[in-house]
Amino acid sequence: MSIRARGLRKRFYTPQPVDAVRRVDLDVGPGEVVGLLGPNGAGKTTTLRMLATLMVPDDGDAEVAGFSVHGEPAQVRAHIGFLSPNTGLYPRLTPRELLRHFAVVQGVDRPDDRVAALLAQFALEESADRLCERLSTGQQQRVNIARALVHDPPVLIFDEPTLGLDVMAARVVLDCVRDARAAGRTVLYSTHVMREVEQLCDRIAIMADGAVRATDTLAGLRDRTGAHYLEDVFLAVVQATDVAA
Amino acid sequence: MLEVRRLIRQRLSMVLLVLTPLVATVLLGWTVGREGVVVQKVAVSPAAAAALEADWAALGLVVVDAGAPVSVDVDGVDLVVHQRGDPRRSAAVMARLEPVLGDWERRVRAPAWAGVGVEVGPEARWALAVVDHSVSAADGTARLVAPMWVFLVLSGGLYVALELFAVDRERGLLEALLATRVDRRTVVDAKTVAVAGVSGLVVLLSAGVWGLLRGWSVWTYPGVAVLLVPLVAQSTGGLVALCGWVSSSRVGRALGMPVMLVGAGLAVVAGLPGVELNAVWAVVPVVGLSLALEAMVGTGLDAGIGVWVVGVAALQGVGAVMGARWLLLREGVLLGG
Repeated sequence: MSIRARGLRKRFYTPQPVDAVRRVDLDVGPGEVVGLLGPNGAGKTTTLRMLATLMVPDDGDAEVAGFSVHGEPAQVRAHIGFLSPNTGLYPRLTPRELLRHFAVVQGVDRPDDRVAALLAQFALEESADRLCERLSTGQQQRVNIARALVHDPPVLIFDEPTLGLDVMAARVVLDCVRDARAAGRTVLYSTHVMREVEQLCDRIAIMADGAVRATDTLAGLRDRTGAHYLEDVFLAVVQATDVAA
Repeated sequence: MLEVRRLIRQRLSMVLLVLTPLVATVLLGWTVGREGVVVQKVAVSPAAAAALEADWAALGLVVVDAGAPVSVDVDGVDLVVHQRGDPRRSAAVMARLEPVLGDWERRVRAPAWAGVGVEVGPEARWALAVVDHSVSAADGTARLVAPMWVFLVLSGGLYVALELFAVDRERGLLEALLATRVDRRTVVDAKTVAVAGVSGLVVLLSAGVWGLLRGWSVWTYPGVAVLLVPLVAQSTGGLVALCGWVSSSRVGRALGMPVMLVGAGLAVVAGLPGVELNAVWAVVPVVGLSLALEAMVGTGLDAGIGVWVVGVAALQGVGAVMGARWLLLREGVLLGG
C-alpha cells in the first residue's frame, strides 16, 4: 500500500477537547487515485495533515510510501507532494527562484535542470522570472503544483486544491492529477466538488464525524446506497452516520 | 539564505528598516552635539585624583587621558579628567574640585613655577586648570542611546519576526516548508537566525554611526558590540516566541507594541536616579545591559561588572531563544491547531 492508516486519532483542545479525528482506517494502493469526501468538520484536513506529518496523531499509526509517520516523518515528507488551499507562494520570489529553493530543500540532484523541466511542463517559462505576486491565480496555482512535484514524489496528498479557483485554474489541478495517475503516482484527493471525484478517482472514501464511513468505487457505493448520483451517495452515507451517531 | 533574500526583495521595507534608524541616529547625534551642555576638561594632580577617587561616579568624572592634551610645563600635572553633565552639575563639581586644586596649587604648582622665577597667584589657577569648555556630553547621550538601541533591536526584530512567522503562516508558506523533508527545527532555527541577523545589523549600524559621531575610541566599538549581542538574543527570543505563537500578524502587531514599550521602558528604568550598575541590576533583563551600555559609551565600564553583565545577559538571551524554540516546536503552535 502507498498509504495505510490504522486507527488514526487526533484531539484538539480549544480549550474544550474536540475529537477532530476519532478513528481513520484507510488504504490507498500504488498508482491509485482516491477521493476523500466529507462535510466540513469531518476530519479530512486533519487526517491529511497527519499523513503529511504536519501533525502528530494522538493514537494509531500510518505508513506513507512505506514509511511510518511516527518513526520516519522526514522520509514520509521526502516521498509526498502536499498541496492545500492554504499553501501559498513567496510573493517576492520568482517561480524559478522558488522552485529552485524547494528543489534544493528536497535534495533534488541537478535542481536547475529539474526546475527548467517543471517550468516547461506547466507552461511557466515566460513568467519564470516575474515575481510570484504578479502572476495570475492560475499561474500561481501552477507554480504551487510544480512546487509539490519538484522532488518527483510517488505520493500526492491534495487537500481541496481547487478551492476558490476559477474553472481554468481548477482545470490545471485536475490535469495534474490525471497526469499523476498516468505516471503511476498515488493520489489522495480531498474535495467538496463531487464532479471532480467522479472524473478523477478510482475509489472514494467518505468521512463523517472523524471517521471513514465508507470506502469503495463509485459503482460499489451506488450499489450499497441505492443512489445513483454521487451527491446522493454522499448524503446517504453521511446521513446514515448522523442517524447512527 | 532564502529568508534573507526574500526580506531584501522587500526593498522599501528594508530601506525603512535600516535607513530610518541610521537617519534617526545621525539626527539625534547631531542634535545632542549642539545642545548647550558645558563639559569641562580639567587638569588635576595625582593628589586630586586620589582625593576624588571615591567620588568619581557621583561626580560624573572619568579619567580619559594621562595629561597628554594639557600642555602645562609644570611637574605634577599628570591627569586630565572629563567632567560630564549639565552646567549646573558642572558648577557643583567645580566647587568640589576647587579646594583640591587649591591645595595642589600651593604644594606643587606654585613652587614649581617659583623655581623658574614666576610667581603665580590663585587667580591664575583656572586659566590652566580649565582647558576646554565644549567637548561632549557623553554621560547624557549615553542615557539616550541605550533606550534607542533597545527600541531599534525590538522594532527591527518585530518586523522580521512578524514577516517570517505570522505572515508566513497566514500565507501558507510555513505549511509548504514544513511539508518538505527539512526538519522542523531547521525551519525554526533559520527564521530565528534571520530575525537576530536583521535586528542585530540594524542596531550595530546605528551604534557604529553613533560612535563615529561621538568620536569613540577604537576599543569602544567591540565593547558595545559585545553588549548588543545578548540584547539581540533576548529580543529575538521574545519576539520569535510571540510571533510564532500568535494567530495572525494583526494580533502580532497588536501585542508587539506593548512588548516594545516594555523593553524600551526597562531601558529607561536604567536611566533613573539611583539605578546604578551593580551585581543586582545586572541580572534584570535589558536594564543590566542598558546600564552597561551607558557606562561603556559614557564613563567607562569596569571589566569585572562588564563580564558579569555580559555573562548573565548571554545566559538570558540563550534561554529566551531556546524557550522560543521549545514553544514553537510544540505540537500545533507553529501551524496552529
